[in-house]
Amino acid sequence: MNDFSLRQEAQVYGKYFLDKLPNEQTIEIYAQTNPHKTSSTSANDQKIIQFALHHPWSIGFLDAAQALVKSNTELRKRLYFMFAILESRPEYCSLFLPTKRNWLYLFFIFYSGARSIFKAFFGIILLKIITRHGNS
Amino acid sequence: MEILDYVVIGSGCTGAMAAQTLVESGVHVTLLDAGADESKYSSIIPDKDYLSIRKTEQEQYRYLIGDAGEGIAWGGIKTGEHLTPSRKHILKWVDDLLPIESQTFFPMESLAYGGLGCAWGLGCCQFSDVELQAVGLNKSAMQTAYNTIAKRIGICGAQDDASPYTIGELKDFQTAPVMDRNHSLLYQNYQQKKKSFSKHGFYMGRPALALLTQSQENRKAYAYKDMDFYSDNDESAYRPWITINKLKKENNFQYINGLLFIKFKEQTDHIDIHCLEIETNTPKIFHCKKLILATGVLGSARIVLRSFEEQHKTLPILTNAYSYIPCVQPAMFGKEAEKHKLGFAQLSIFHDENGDNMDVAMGSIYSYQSLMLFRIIKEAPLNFADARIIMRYLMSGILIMGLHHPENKSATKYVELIHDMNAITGDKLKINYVLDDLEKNKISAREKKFKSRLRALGAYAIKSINPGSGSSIHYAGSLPMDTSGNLFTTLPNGKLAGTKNIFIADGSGFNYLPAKSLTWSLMANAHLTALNSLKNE
Repeated sequence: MNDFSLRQEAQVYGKYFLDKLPNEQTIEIYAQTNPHKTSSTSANDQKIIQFALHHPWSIGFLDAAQALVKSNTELRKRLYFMFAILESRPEYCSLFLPTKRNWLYLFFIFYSGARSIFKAFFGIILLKIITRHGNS
Repeated sequence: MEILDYVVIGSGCTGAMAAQTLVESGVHVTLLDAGADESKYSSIIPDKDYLSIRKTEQEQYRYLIGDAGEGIAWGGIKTGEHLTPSRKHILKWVDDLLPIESQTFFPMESLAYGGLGCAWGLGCCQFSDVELQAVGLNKSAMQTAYNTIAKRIGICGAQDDASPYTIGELKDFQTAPVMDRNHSLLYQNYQQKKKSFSKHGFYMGRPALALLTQSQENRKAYAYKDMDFYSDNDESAYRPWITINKLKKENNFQYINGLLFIKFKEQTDHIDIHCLEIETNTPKIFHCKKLILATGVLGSARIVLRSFEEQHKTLPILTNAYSYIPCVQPAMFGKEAEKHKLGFAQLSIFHDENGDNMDVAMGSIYSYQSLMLFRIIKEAPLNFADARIIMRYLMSGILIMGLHHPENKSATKYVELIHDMNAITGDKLKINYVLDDLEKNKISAREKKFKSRLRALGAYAIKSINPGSGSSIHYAGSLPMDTSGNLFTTLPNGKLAGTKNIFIADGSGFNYLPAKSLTWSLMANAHLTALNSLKNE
């Protein structure tokens, strides 16, 4: 069922957060921590993960939709692991540590929130299609 | 047959204090302990501040999230799951050796070297005279004991509006640590509105903490490295193992670990102590003249029920209702991370509705930085990528308030020991804990009042998170104190009723559980119990 290795998965999820491939050590740590090990993945979860891995553009939509409707899913868990790993890498710490911003940045914050809500609506439709028709 | 003089069970805050009192009096003391230890991560954490570590250390993921990701908690979170990798040993062996069955109560126990004290938030509060009376403790003896314990562990604090609830009558304490920007702003706002606060029965001030702000003996002054959830490198924060390490150098003290205490049997001239060697699962028996239990309230309940072999006996249990409330202080949004910072509570807020220092609720306020974004990001109903942008911006303005409520006994809160053939000990503790509607309503109303006060200071609550009963990690009252001498009670001198030489040094005897940080009072009571055990009464 799972035709992606842990390392390939790490590349896809890492790219989702970084807009570029994560470095080798990050991929290695993802494989080592292995978020699959405590999983009991349902058939629907499997379909969604396979779709996300084959179509990385969809991850933002699926993540946003699941955050709204059912946040404790297997895809979100794996993304969460990658998030924590990236946060604990010195190369990427500047993406996570608070930094000084002026008040105009608030517009970008509102835009980011609105973007996530838009993605959630599209994602909910996508989730319905995937769970009904598989990952083709 | 070797008969030991004094045996203390457990190396947590109460065990450490009882042992120190006995050792200082000159008697021979043996401390028996499970003693789960941690060296894998603590030995690799560099002696640097959090931000420097984040920016430079390649190995940081090991102690921040764990080699196997054990610091990343996902899904239904059990009490204690949020512990960082270097604190996870606190839970070692607990599921196997201290099994609990409950749908309503989610406690945390520990078999670690230093017990739950390894993750103690360091909050210190003196109970007021009326609270001490309700608990069942002697006022003047406790006042002396508070001073003794403060000298041993080192307490910092301040004289301010909150000091009647925190530092109390303590005269000799170190100065409070410097607040970060987030708390400074909140406190400034409070100073301007304190009249209105006191009119509503609210008082804010610096918490008393078991933290050194000036070096003392081998312990260094706090250096604001913000690594408090990961490391005890400079020993500025008090941990019970600091005391045990010191006692190990004394000739009249011995420490034996790797043991789970099962039960006692009092004979005519000695006490049999039945243990289990944890590594081999083999029984081991010690003998002593006097026994001091410091196994924690649930531990003592288990042991006493087992030892008295009473079937179907239920014991009461007290715990503080607890919730934590993440808040945002918009004036602090978009500020850069602070290099010198304190991970412990920096402000305390008390609600004393009747103005009599009784039935007080307590909020402890923390900033959020070193526990990292990933722990809070899952609370946002957004995709992780966008949530990162937003939460990173908000982070410098995030405050977390942990809110504790006082607790009285009731018939719907009890523990009992039941058979369990799958358990190593052959039994497990079954806990039933149900709050009645009156209690629930009172807690909810109070929570709303706290949120409203924070709003008045410019901090807005995002949500209330209730991790479930027992998650406060404050427990008491399973062997309530009285003078009747009935089985399953504690006498006012700490002796277990129905025994000649067995004493209870933990909070099992407390008849009431104030919401204030309770460890200082537990340690003071343990000291008094140890003193009482030295008398032949």
